[in-house]
Amino acid sequence: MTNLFANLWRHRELCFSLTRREVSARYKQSLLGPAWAILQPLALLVVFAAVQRFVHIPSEGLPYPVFVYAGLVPWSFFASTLAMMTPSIVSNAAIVRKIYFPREVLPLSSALVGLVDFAVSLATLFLLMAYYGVFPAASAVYVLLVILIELVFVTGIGLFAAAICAFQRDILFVAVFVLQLWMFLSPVLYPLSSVPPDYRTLYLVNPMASIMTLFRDAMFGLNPIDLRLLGIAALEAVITLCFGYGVFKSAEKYFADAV
Amino acid sequence: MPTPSDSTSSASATTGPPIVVEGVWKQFRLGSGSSLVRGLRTLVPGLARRLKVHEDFWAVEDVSFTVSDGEALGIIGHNGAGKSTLLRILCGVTPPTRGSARVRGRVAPLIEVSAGLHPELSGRENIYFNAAVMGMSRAETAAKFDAIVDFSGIEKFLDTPVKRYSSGMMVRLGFSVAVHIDPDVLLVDEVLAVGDLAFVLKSYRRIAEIRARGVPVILVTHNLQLVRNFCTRALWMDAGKLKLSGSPAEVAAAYTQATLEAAGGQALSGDVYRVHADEALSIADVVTVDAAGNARASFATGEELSIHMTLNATRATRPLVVVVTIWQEETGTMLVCHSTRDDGVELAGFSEAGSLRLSMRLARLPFIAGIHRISVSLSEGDVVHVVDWHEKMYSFRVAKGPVGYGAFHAFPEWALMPKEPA
Repeated sequence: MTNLFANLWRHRELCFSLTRREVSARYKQSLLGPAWAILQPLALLVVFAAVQRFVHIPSEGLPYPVFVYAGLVPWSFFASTLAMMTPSIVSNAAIVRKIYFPREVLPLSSALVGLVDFAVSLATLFLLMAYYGVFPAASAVYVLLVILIELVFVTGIGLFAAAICAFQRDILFVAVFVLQLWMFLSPVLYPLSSVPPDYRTLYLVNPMASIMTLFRDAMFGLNPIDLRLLGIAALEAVITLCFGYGVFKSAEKYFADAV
Repeated sequence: MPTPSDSTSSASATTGPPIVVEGVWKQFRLGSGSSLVRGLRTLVPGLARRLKVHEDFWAVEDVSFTVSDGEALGIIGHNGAGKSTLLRILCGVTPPTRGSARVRGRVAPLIEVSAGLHPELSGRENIYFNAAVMGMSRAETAAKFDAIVDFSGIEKFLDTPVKRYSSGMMVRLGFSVAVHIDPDVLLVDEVLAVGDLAFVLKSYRRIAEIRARGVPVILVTHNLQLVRNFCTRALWMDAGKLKLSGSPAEVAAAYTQATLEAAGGQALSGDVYRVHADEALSIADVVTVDAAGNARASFATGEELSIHMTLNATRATRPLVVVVTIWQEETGTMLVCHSTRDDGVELAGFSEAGSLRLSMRLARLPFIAGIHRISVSLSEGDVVHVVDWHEKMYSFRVAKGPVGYGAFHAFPEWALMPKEPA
């Protein structure tokens, strides 16, 4: 695992170069450029806010748009980062076949692009909060920790998915499907309190459930930060990263033959 | 300096040779079974034995060699002989199935140089990106930026997206970056064949400069003249195996000889074929004959060579036309094409079934050393009405004579001329 950080540091120039290439290529090809990072969660926000008008969904005393957007921002970070990391080996086949460098640089730079997008959408969350007169709580500093855990978690899954994708493109379709189910199994549209208490322990096995809950709790001070939940989520994230990185590294040497 | 075939050259004993390949084998799995099964098998070792769908294929078999500082090793062989796979193993992108390949320091792969350029980004951004992929820092690239741009000759299009470039411009850009990274090892795969002549010549010069600094070069090519002129040693790979290693002249000669023998056999493949449109008329017994009248396959430049052939008919025919074409094997260039009609020889044809013998004599063979192929065609009445066509079915070798560029030897007479009076 220390390998991961050592390789990352040694090849940081390449990593930044890939990130810069990804970001600037995206801006050049599209009219809206960075707006796409916030457009998807914003569209979902509009739909969910509309639905909430006739289907009652509790929102822990917050204006529902603020509540749901505070779920959509970390969720989009997870979903879009995963969507970028998964094909990262395959879409760079030309350089993978030509020259050696630690291949994790490719998915990790996709994760960095995801982080850039996340920063933009987090800024829009603050704008929305200002509009509704909702202020961040003192515990909002924990948001950084929660994001770090989420980054570790998504990187682990992304490394695994990118490795599989090098051999099997089906994972791209599977990912879309799984992410859809996963979103409904995570407290994006509804709060954790809507989940029957008997099922909560099971429900919270999903690290994204803990992450979303902790994100809102920290941002708005709805509940005191559940350190046990935070610890479990962090542990799950680290285990996922170790697993994902392990699979990635053992498959790495065959990428050039497979893509 | 050509080195005789040795796979354990012990050059600089202190650090060891920069490229050491020891007993390398590379296996590929051919596409049988679903790709899911193949994917799983790669990820889960041991599963391969249980899922019996593999159809394995050895792309490289037991290849060993070393390359010392400043050496240029040419690798030749037919398509599919494993040359490019070997190069990829040396690049480190694919591991050998068995054995080891050690390459010291930074590798500049001149392989598909334009692959990896991002179409949406400008030439400038692509230079930085490509350099980063090859392990150069941003500061290093910035320091060499002008030299790279200057070499590529694309400064006018530096801020144009690469998708608007011609393929030649992309190659120039990719090549320029690769040769400016101060490599410790240079691996070249046929890239020199691309681009305009001026750039090709510049590329040769650049590679020669890098090699002059002591950087070892491996060159995979089909161009035997390049191997003879540029390389210090050559390897011939055949069906994944190292067939011969030695001086470029020796290996190139053996390779052409084998190509000749393979073509002379019964297996007609590729550009070697026969079209026989009329069974009643045929060409037979085409042989190359020397001045003494003996059939021979090997000649020297300037020697006499005759092509003898027999024409057979089982019925009366109209007047006949025979066309003989001679090709340079190495370049595929047509050297001469003579027809009896154009040369003013009238072949009246057969009045009844029978055969006749025809000879085309070249009193002084004007070709340089190399393999030459002969095509013979027989037409009845008009030259376009071909009844029997033997495309490149025969060959001869010019074994003694000048080696180099071009195809012909013009028997030139050089002389220094007296100074003209002022």
